[in-house]
Amino acid sequence: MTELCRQLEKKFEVTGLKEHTPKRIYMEVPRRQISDVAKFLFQEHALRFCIATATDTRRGFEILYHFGEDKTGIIYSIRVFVPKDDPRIASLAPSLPAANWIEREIHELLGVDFDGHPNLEPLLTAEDWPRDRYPLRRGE
Amino acid sequence: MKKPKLRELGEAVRALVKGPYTVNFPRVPSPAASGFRGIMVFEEEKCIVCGACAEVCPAGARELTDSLGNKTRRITHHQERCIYCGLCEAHCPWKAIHHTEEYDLAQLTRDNYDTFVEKELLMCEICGGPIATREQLLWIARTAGELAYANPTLAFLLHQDIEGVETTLPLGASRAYRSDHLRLLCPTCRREVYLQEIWGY
Amino acid sequence: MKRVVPIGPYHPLQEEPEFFKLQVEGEKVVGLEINIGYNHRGHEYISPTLTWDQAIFLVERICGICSNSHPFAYVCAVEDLAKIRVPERAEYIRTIVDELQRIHSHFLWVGLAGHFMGYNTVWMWFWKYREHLLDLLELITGNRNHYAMMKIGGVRRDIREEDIPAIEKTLNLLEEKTALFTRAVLDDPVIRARLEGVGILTTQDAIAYGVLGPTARGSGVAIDVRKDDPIAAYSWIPWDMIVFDDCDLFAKAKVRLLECLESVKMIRACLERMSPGDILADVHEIPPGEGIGRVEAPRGEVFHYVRSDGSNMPVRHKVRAPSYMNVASNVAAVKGCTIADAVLVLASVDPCYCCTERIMVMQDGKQMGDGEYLIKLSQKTTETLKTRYGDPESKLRGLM
Repeated sequence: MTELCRQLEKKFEVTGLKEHTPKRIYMEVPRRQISDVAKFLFQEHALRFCIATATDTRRGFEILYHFGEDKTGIIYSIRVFVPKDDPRIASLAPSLPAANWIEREIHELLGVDFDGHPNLEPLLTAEDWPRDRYPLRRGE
Repeated sequence: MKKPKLRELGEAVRALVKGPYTVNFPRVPSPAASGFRGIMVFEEEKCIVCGACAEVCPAGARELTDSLGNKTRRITHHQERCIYCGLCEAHCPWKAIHHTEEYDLAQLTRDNYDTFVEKELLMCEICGGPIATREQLLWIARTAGELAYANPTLAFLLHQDIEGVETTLPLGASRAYRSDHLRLLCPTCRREVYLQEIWGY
Repeated sequence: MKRVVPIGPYHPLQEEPEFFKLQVEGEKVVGLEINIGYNHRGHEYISPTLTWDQAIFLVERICGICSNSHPFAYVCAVEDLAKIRVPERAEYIRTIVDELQRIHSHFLWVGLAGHFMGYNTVWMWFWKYREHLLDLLELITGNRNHYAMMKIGGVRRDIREEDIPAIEKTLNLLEEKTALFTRAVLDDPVIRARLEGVGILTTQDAIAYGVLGPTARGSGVAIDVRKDDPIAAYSWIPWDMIVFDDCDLFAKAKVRLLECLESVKMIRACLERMSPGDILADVHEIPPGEGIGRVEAPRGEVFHYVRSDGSNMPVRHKVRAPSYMNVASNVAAVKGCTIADAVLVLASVDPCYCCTERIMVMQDGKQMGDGEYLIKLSQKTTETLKTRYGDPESKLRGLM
């Protein structure tokens, strides 16, 4: 349990805090808090945004935001669940340009909407790919 | 520190004298290093067409197909799909697959890229479906030692191999019946043979 | 008057296809629009259909230049998930192969950059000595690229004792030539004039865009996975991180060239410290869980995330190559450059996707220039600078 974990637990509704190894820490926060968590980690603690991983699970669309602390080598992975009947979440792109492309990719491959993203256009798929088909969704 | 022009001059002279690094392949041979992961060869004598290589191949270059009419099982190598990773060589229990140090695959037609090994496939005496190749079942029988005698298929194969024993009882009714248990049977039919009398179907 | 210069999707300067639309006013670039996806092959979709061992070969073919980094990061992710300890000799071998790969990748980049500035000699000489390196890799791993060395729990092949003299001979040659060419490139006034002060990516932008590798280290951001989160033998051998504060293309070139020399030192240190032993740990099954593995590829941090449900195939496999973050930063780096410099800036992040071909420059709907237009533009700039500073290469050509 690092000092940063303690601060996160105090400031936000963190559940499922797990230290898989000393350098890999996972935790879950509610969907509405992700912008504040990201701001806290990037602006106040100078963590680097590595990437976001999105998976289709039974509980909903799970998005893992990976933040790397370069001075210790620890990766903090913040887990957020987005319900399938309301697949939207606040975008981190306005304050974190590093998240711009990955949010576009998650939007086109999984169908999650990012509110506030400057241009949520498809990034990787071809122009004529049907926009209602999401390749990484389990059912399709 | 040498003056810049002299420094490069030395290199330029060396380059002029030695010539280019490239060779005029194929007129000049260009052998690969020892241990190069080149074109695969498959030894027909050792292969038992078990399909382990087909299971592990990441590229789908190994294909296992059965010909029920000819009673053969064939493992085909699709050369143009092979990625030369060597997983088949690493997993073949009989060491029947090897890398060579050949790399020149160029041909004028597409046809000659496939090679295959074909072995006799044993068929189930009741349902007519494939069991496995004779060589694979013989290997299982020999490796199982005395436990092979728990399974009449394996026991018969061992004895056919040694003494040439054949099954002589005629096939009974079309459904598997207990009296059919001394036959070469596939796993499904073997279970039916033992359970039908007790549980019925 | 604004005009749009499209570069790509196939372009001789890039190793791989991407589509850049430069918005240009006069000679200066004022904006950039990036379209990628020409090489999207759906690895994340294919991975869950392959077993753990087969996925190594899938990710190896994500890239041909950094073809060892992806399997390395993937096996690290799986080993992180299953908490597998890799034998010491295997860690040294992994480090050696990775550093050899780094040198070959940097040589490739320097050669290409030289070519598109008009220095074909730089190109030919760097690629000639790269051939010695590829022959060495063929001896150690069995192939010039796509080494198939990584396996979950260790490596697949050992380095034979009888090969070590050949390795040392090649290392000595590489060290001598790299030092020679590095000084030749860095001392040349024309190359300095072309690269210094061009394509500035400020430290603040570098952090905001999350750039990685030599792109970040050339902008004063001192990050390197080998120092921050060391895997394999990186924490057991002495080496230095190369960082420059200048934020321009020259800094990036310096980082890459000096890193080659550092890599040679690291390989020598590994060979010295290696002792005989196992090269593969005993791995039976991958338990349910999630793991993250990252490795410093020649272009930056490669990040792999795997999730397992206990079966023999991954459930989710996320791959993030460093160019994903670096190419996005071009938007900030290319502003204010001329078109001739813009192509160098776009190539300076060493984009890793795929290669070749023609571009078109359009004005008012009419085609202005054919295929080689932008390269010629770039080479013409160099010619202009040569008349100002004197031209060492033509003197060499005169002698040959």
